[in-house]
Amino acid sequence: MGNQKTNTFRHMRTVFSSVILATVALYSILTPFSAAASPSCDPTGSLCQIDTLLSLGDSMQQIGAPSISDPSWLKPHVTFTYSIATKGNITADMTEFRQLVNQTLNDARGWSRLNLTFNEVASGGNLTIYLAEALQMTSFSANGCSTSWSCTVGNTIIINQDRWLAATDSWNGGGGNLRDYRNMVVNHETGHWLGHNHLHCSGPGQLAPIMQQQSIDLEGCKVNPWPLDSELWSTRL
Amino acid sequence: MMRYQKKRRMSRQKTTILVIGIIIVACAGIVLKFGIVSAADNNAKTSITTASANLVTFTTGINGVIASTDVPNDQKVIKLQAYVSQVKTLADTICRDQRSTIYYDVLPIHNTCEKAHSQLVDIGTSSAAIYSYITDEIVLSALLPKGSTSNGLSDTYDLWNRTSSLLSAAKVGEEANNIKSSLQKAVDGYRDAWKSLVDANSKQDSSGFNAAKTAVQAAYSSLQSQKDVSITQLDALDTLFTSKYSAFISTTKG
Repeated sequence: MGNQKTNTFRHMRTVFSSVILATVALYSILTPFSAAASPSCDPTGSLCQIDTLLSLGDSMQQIGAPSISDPSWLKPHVTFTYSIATKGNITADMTEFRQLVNQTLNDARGWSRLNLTFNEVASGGNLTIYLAEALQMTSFSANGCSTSWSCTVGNTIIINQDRWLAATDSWNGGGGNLRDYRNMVVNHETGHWLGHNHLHCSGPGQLAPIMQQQSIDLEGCKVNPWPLDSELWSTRL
Repeated sequence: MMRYQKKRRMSRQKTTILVIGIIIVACAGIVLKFGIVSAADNNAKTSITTASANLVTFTTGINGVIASTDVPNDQKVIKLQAYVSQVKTLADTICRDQRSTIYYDVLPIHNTCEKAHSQLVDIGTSSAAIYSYITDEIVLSALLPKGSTSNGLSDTYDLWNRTSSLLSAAKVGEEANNIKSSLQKAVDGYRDAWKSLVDANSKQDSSGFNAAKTAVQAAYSSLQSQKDVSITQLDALDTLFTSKYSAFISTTKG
């Protein structure tokens, strides 16, 4: 009885293996013929791949998908607090710095379009905005900050005094003025605090995104001190 | 009496000679005519065969150019224009010598010649239609803006409004009329959706704003689908070309 069972099992295994082998063999034989039978363009009797000369597809690809941020009136109002601080030898006018930071943060063209208000407090607050001597920049973060540029570390924004006083070659060379540079650098670093990473220029002649490193290279874009519509979002809200 | 009989015999001989002469001349004429006809017929056959072979050569050539990754698209379009001229020249020259002879109408190959000529004219016309469509489509594509999403709502609306006007003013041939109107409709729809968004924003109408946002996305998809509409239209022209081509090749084989 046991032998009979074993024989039946062997027989079934042989049949099963044969079917699998036959299927594989049949597939291997038929596949080249199937491929050959598939319709292909005859270059002696048709204009093959003529649709590659069409350009509408390429043009459509260059029209970016619409990215529509909700306007501030559609968002709940949020208030953040910040304090002003300094580090190192500061020669810049601190009253001007304090006023310009506040104006920039609450400007109708800036991050306030997210329905935000930034109120200055004497100390502490949601974030601290430093004006720091260039040599002091790395004391905030050896890797994240450099003596050349401004930076953001956690809830601390550090504006490099050298940049505050003279902007950069890239910015000045692109026709930007110092007042706009100051708006830009405050908005850029605040953008990091709101959750943004760096962006690149979307195309020659376009307005630079605020999160582009415009201090370093405009990449063919026009100088722009304010966030673009497409940048109006924050992970903090 | 004898004299009379002699005179009659001579007259009969003259008549016979005359008749034989006429028959000889007629036979010579017929032989000559059939010789000319036969030669013309053979030349016509050669002309058709040559035209057919040339067409295949030209078509293979343009396909090689189109398939090449080394040739930029604008150069490919110029080559396509040259191909259209080549086909038109073939149509003009096929059976040309035969068509100019006075025996053309009685040539046995007359009908085949006429058919092949007319088919080549059709191939020329259908390839010219493809060229015309492609060049017009390039013109229309160039009117579309690039990287246009970083602007404000009003700026974006203005941009698409200008695009709509440019499209409206663009002149295209008959073949590209459909894609022009289809593209115009899609661009106008996209522009109108942005206008709704601008209006809802200025009224601070939240439901209107959200509806307009959805409409902008839908209109954008519709705009994007125009590339498929264009491919479909070109395919129709290409199918027509291929059918004309096949008809000619089968005629010349027969």
